[in-house]
Amino acid sequence: MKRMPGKDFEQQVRDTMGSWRIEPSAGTWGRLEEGLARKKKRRRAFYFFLLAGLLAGGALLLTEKALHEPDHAAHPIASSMQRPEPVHSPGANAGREAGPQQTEAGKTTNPAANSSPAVNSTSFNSGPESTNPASAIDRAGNSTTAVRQTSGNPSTASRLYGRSNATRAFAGDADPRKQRLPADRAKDEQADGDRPLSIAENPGPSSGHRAYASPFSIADTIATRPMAIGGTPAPSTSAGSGQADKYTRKKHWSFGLTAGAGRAAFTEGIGLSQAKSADLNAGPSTGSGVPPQGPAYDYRQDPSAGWEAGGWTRVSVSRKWSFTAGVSYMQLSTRTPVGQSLGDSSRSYYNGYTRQVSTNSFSAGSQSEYRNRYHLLQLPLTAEWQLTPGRRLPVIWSMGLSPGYLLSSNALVRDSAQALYSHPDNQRGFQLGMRTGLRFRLMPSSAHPLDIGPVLQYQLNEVFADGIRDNGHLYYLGVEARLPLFFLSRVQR
Amino acid sequence: VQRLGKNACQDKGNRPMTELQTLIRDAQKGKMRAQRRLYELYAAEMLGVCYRYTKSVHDAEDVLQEGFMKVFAHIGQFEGKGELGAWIRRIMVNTSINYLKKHAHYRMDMVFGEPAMHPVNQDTPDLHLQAKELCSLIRQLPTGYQAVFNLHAVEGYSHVEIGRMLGISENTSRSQYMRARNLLCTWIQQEEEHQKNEAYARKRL
Repeated sequence: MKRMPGKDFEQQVRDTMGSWRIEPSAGTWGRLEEGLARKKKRRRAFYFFLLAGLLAGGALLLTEKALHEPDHAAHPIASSMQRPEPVHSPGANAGREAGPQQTEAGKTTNPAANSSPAVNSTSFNSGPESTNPASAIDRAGNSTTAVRQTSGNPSTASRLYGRSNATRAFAGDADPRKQRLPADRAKDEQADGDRPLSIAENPGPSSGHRAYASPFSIADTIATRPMAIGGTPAPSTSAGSGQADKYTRKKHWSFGLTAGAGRAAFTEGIGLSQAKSADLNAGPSTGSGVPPQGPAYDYRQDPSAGWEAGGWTRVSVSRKWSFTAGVSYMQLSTRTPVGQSLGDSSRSYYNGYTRQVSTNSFSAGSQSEYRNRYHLLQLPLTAEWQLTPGRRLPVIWSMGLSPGYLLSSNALVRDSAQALYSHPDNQRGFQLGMRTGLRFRLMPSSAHPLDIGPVLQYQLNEVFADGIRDNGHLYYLGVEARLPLFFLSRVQR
Repeated sequence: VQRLGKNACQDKGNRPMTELQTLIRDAQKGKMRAQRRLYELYAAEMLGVCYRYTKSVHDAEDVLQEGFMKVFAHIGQFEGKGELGAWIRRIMVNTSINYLKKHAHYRMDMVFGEPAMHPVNQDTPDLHLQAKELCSLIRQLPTGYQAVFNLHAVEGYSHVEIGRMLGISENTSRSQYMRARNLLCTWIQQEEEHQKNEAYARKRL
């Protein structure tokens, strides 16, 4: 070995050892190759089970509706309730006898109902029943809201609902919001196909002062409907390599576009606000042409298509973690079975405070399908975690919130006469969504790696305003793609 | 590796790429042929690294195999900013340290307490030994000394980094290194003396 004067000991050792090589034995590569193949097989199995799990989860969510389809007949409370049947006493039925008679077209032809405040009285006795099958809804086109009054024997109602409720219900002067509850229950009873509720409307000048007296059942529909998905992923960048990275922190910014498509659905699931039974749109429709209490109708919104598009920006704070903010437009749609169209010019509904003129109205039925569309503008904020290291196929899990605004919707809601109509006032503007998804980064080594993967978004707010019956939450399940357009890097020491 | 670097080709974006960059890109895609080529390029050098930290060639080959598994699993993280050889070497060093910590016969020997009495030599001798002879002397050091000496003298890690890697304090690393260095210097002097005597005897014969 050549002498190295002037060099310190460490440098001499480094120079001596630096280029030293030992040839490995022949079998080393064979063992290594075997290990690599085994690892590849294991990775494939992992992705297979991951995909299978996602598919199974998605299928479970989409079949949720079928599993939880409301069954009125089998409802434990409704079926166990021994409901008294109303009997028309001669005195109390005076209004009923003169009450509105319904034609096939759903119009009332009873002049008495229009000319004078008709009082439709219903008595509840334990005796034989007597029912007004026409349900006596005044549909003569009066501009004022009817006040329904019912007289009868409160004893049964007291038995069923407790004295205070029954008293309020029969008194006709309690809080109308609270008193609508029995009306809802009666509607549900009708949905069971048992017997139409006898209700008369008094077209008096008062607005919103209504008393409903049909405390039949407390069976509120518990309808669970399938859901929706949506997401905005973002690619994560790997941080720098090497020893120097221990002392420097790199911030990578990236900007890009996102687009996705999937299935949207509507469910009565858990959310920030739950519509109580104060049913503001349970009032009678006063327009012409609305059919009276129709056959049992199960209002529902079936899953349909949804899509979204927007832009995003992402900052990666470490090798695994990054945060994304963006803006996106999302359109979700659902399908509601409807009957025949009732026109759109003169329809007027009372929603508790104001009168609404609807542009779309339909009778209950299943002759055709109406597509409810929801247009959302949202600002998704997500945290992202790169689950797998390496650049071959990085997998990123994103989760976060997506505040947004429901720009518009033509979604149908149902009134007490089972008529379906849409109105902008019925929708809730602010929407907060919960969002999660997985993304697989394709072509990770290229300048524009494409992120693609499933995404699920659940709207925590109910889609309709408080008081609208059949309220629920939207959700979206789809596949989202993200394409970064350009990057910026900044090194912090 | 240098020869590979001169052979230029083009990637899909029409950027000039060396053959080594092509190999790296193919290895990132998981192509076995590229992986084997990279192994052939770097295996001998890396086995030399692993051999310094272990006590047998068999163990060194185990470390080499484990290290290359990590290399091919994480080659996607190699951004091409530095030398691939340096990146692989760092992986091999870390794998060697982990191997020492993991296996009992090394772990039990890696004690960083109060050192036993060793002959101390404050001189800094000039090295006349071949790499193989020097390496055999380094491998005769106790495992803890061996690791610290290799990390500092050969790989050039600071004592702070060594402390972090081995889970010891900076001062412990420094004192362990000084003792290892003194012990090695003594052995080197003895070895060189022995070689001189042998050469003198051969001349006499």
